[in-house]
Amino acid sequence: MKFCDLKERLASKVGIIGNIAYPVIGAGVFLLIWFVAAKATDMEIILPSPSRAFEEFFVLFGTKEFYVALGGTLGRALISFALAFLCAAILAVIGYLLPSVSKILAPVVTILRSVPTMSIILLSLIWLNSSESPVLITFLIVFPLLYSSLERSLKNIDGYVLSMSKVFGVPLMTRIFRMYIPAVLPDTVAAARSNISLGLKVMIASEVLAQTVKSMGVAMQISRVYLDTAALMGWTIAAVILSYLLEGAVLCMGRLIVRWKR
Amino acid sequence: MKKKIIVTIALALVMTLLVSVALVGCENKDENTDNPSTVTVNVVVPDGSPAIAIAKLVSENPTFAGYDINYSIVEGATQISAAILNDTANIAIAPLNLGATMYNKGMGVKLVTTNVQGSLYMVGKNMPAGATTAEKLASLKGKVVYNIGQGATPDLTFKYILDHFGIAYTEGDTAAADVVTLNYVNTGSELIPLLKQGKAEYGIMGEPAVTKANANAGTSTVFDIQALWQESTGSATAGFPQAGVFVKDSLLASEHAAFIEWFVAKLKENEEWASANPDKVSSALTSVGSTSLAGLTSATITACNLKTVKAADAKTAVNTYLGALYAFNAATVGGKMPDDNFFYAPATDAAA
Repeated sequence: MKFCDLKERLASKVGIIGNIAYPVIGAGVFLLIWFVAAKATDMEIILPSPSRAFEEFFVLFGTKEFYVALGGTLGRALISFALAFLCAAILAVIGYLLPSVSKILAPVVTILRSVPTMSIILLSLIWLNSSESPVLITFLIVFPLLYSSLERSLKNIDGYVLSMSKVFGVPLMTRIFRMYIPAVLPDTVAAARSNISLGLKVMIASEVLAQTVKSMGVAMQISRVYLDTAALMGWTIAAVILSYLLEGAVLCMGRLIVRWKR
Repeated sequence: MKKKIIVTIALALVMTLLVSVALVGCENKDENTDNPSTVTVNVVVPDGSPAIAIAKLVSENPTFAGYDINYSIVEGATQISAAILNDTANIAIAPLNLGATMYNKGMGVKLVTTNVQGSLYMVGKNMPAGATTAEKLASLKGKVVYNIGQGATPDLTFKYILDHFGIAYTEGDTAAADVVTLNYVNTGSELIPLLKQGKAEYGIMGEPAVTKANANAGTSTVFDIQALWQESTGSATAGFPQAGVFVKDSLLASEHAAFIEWFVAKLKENEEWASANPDKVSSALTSVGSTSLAGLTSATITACNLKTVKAADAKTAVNTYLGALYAFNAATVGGKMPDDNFFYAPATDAAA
């Protein structure tokens, strides 16, 4: 009896505190593993402790290099994401209206999606300079994912609703803003959210390989060259937080669009 | 719900344990290699001119009783520190500043010899205008100079030289007025196509890539970085101790002194042998993983400035070089100047 009571009470409380408690537990467990592993290795070049990494992270804010690198990487990531999103949206809409275009694009997107990231990176290093190639690489990785998601959600729009709106002669603008956009929005926001952080990761990786000046990738690479693992971790924390903020920004934009169209 | 929480915590503990066991396991590998019957010696060198320093050893594979020696070539200097860290190598050739950093970070290595006394050159499509070095360097303003590896030796030495001659520089992709613009690629072999296509006008790289660039990309050597370094630092000899042999402390114990002495002697024999036998150098090093050392010539090997100098005799040159880098950016040598223990002094010296 008592146990059941407790279980019920717990269940009701979990709803309220769960949103806060579980992420905190998750982060705590992660930090604990990190801390124990760092203690076990006891060598800062292999694995610095979480406190050292966060110390280095806060040191970054005082340096000019941090803002220069952050600005460069963020700018490039946003440009390539915006380009990929625009292309994906335009092509998905054209493909939706003209099925033949969608069929022509299908193999291209499949190829783009299955080309190894590394060969895209290596090829673009030959074609472009060190600050252009990360933009191309990120574009080529993110575009097919966004396109497929947009195409899928457009195809999934309820056929009955579509034919009904035609029968009742609903104006085009109303149809776009009241029907199409609301229908594709949830999936699109979800796709954009996961792809913007993927884009940032790809961006940083390609910056390392392209030796892009003024970039977070090279800042990480230089910390590695100087065996400054704590600083490398500090940069990593900065990248994680940045990608978290980017995802948040995408969510906010999604919500703003929902509000605006009402 | 309670069960779930318990499971979560249990899982977390198991993961923590596993990770720590795995990491502790890694550490213990150190002891296993110190087998009393035969000692395994793994020599790791970066591809390029430092690899030529071990060419004779690789080619003839001489043996020393009680030691089992393996050689491997890795792509770049950064893999060297990884090999030393995870104990896959106990002898390595590394850039001097990386060696100093490894020493300062407590990775348990000492400098045994310096081997490459500078093999860096700037190649270009056009000769810089001007009569003096300062004028020639100043003529690079408004141009892009490509370099290999941001934050590594070629980058640091060239920035030091530009600073000395009071020439402003910036990092970027496009040329800007009144400054030298520095741009980067990873390796010399990446730079050659850029020079060939005319995308790059000037590039700094190490031999043997220099010879390859001049033969294939229509460039010629415009600066000897070693000479510029001498002019900038006012040192007595040309060049600087670019790379040296670093040995882990476990292999520097007195019982291994005879082996180390033998190894250094073999490195010394290599100097003349390598420039006399370029074909053998190429084939031997290619067989252990080099991708950039095929088709070497005597002239190329000579331009690599290979010279084995024992740590004790190289102290002044090393301290001058590291001191310059330290003054430029302390992080490049691991935050501080290495102390005297950095230089290996064989215990047998005292007995002799």
